[in-house]
Amino acid sequence: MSVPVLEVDQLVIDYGTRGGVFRAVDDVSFSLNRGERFGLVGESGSGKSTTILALMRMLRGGRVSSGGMRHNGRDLAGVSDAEYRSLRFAEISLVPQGAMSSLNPVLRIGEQMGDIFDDHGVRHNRGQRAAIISELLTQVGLAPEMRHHYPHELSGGMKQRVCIAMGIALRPSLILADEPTSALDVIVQKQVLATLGRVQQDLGAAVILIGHDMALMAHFVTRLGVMYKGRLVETGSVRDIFANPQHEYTRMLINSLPSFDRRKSFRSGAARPVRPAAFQEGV
Amino acid sequence: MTASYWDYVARRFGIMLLVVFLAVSINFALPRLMPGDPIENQLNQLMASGGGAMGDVGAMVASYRARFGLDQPIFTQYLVYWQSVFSLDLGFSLTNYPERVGDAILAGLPWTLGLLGFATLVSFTIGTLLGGLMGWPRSPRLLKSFGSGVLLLSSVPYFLIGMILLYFFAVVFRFFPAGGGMPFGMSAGFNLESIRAIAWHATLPLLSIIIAEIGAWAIGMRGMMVSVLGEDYIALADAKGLRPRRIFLRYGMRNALLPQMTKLAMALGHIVSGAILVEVIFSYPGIGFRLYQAIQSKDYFVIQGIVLLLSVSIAIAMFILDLIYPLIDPRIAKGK
Ligand SMILES: Nc1ncnc2c1ncn2[C@@H]1O[C@H](COP(=O)(O)OP(=O)(O)OP(=O)(O)O)[C@@H](O)[C@H]1O
Ligand SMILES: [Mg+2]
Repeated sequence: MSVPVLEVDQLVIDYGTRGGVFRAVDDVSFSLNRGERFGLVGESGSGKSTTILALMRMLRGGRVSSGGMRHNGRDLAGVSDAEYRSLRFAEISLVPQGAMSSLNPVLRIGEQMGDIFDDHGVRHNRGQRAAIISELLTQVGLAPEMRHHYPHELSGGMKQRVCIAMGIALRPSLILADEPTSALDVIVQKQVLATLGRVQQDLGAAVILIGHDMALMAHFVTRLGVMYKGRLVETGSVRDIFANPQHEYTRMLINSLPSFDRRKSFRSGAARPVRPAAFQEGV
Repeated sequence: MTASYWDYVARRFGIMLLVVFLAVSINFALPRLMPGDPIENQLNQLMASGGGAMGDVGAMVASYRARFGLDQPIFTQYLVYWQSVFSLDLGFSLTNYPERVGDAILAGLPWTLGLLGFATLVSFTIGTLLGGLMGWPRSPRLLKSFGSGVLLLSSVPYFLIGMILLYFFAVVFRFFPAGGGMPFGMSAGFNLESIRAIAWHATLPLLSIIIAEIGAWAIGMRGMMVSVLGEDYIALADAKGLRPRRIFLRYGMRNALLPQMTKLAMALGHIVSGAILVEVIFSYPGIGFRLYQAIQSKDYFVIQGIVLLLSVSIAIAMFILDLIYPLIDPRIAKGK
């Protein structure tokens, strides 16, 4: 087997607070293979976002106290800040939690997609740039004309799609999606996830999906990790975790699903994720 | 930015007209609401305060009665008043009769607009840039501590700074003139000598405003910058691996600038009233100094004229801001 895209090894992250040091992530280890979909669930405040921010080296007020992260075998601790900048989105991209507010209100969609290329040294002439951005928008199910629009002219689902389009612009090997659909209604949630799944497969990128909705999660990922109070309390295939949850919190999450969902999730989560095409895509 | 933009412009233009209409109407109504005959009131007061050098009082009373047509129905008076506003015919100065109020304003206006307009734009530019940099975590420490010093200055009122500058640079060391807009007896023209003289006279008043105002602009901008940097779109810009320079300019400054622009328009609209103290200290021949003199000598019609100008200029400044705002913030024209 080749080198994993991502290895997280006994990661510990502390926040400095007024009350002292707060350990938000405690001894977390997991790894992802090329093209794999990994789900991270856990109650609010369990450290999911913190883990992902550490992977982006974007912790605010926090630091990695011990443990390490490897990307394609390369130790990320040894990467300088300047180099880390060029790693972002080129190798590891992020689909943010709050797509509603994640777009710059005064720049057109096309501009804020285009600046990713500019600042990663990818040169295009005007025509090429327009074509590439149109292509990206089409890939996530949006009309190419959207590049002339401002964020406030888009619906929540459209903004989320724009964020996905940005996340794949530089063809990264790892996509971190932090509750990319939490602000959307149920139907649009499924559509957007299906879109994410399709582009991720096209790229062959691995993805970490954070979420609370076990049913939705089970449709999308092959492997799950459950976080509880900063610890990764269990990891395993969706099937195993649904069939035989080890941790109290996992049992609670599964039991809180309506029984219909539970069965369906269990079945579909079994060997393979539901083909993204099984979801109706649209805006 | 086509149909909806013009809709928006039309709406804003309507609002401006309304404000101007109200300002003129109030200016019309106020003297008439006062008990007694406004002209005799004024002239009596002037007499009482001992104006022997009043010139031909009888002619003035007659001229004003004719101008106001106080025997006419009030609506006719109102129309006539509008007519005189449009022709910039705002009556005569009481103390400098027969100087016209319109001429007095026109004589002072270029000085004030030049001095205050320039000072405001310079302090806005420097202050905004400084504030933005102070709110930017990557700025050098040195710049931040320098900025804090400048912020301190903003708590000193500018007339105090003006007096200190005046004392040191005009009285103790005679680098700059102590007052006036240009050397006595010289007339303004478009030649190097005249421009140099004007700049030389304007230096101290300019400096006192700029020094005092930079801090205020910087404080506002720093606050805005800090709050903008906390926005989700900054976090995503960072995640995208954009260059810090772009994040600072296109994501940070660009958004933090929006409220500053509103303040700038307000400041430009308030130039005339803002000019009073500095013009008094430096005996600068602008409209603020003139207003001060008019208030002192109860030169009622000059006060009225300048106050009218003030309200109209604020309305116009706000309208111009409304015109530019959608260009810098695309959300505005679409909004309710
Ligand atoms: N900047 C910070 N300073 C101090 N503590 C923080 C900071 N950011 C997060 N924390 C704390 O770290 C813990 C983990 O936060 P994190 O955002 O990773 O949770 P999460 O699992 O993503 O939760 P959610 O599902 O609500 O998004 C929380 O208890 C939170 O209070
Ligand atoms: Mg989170």
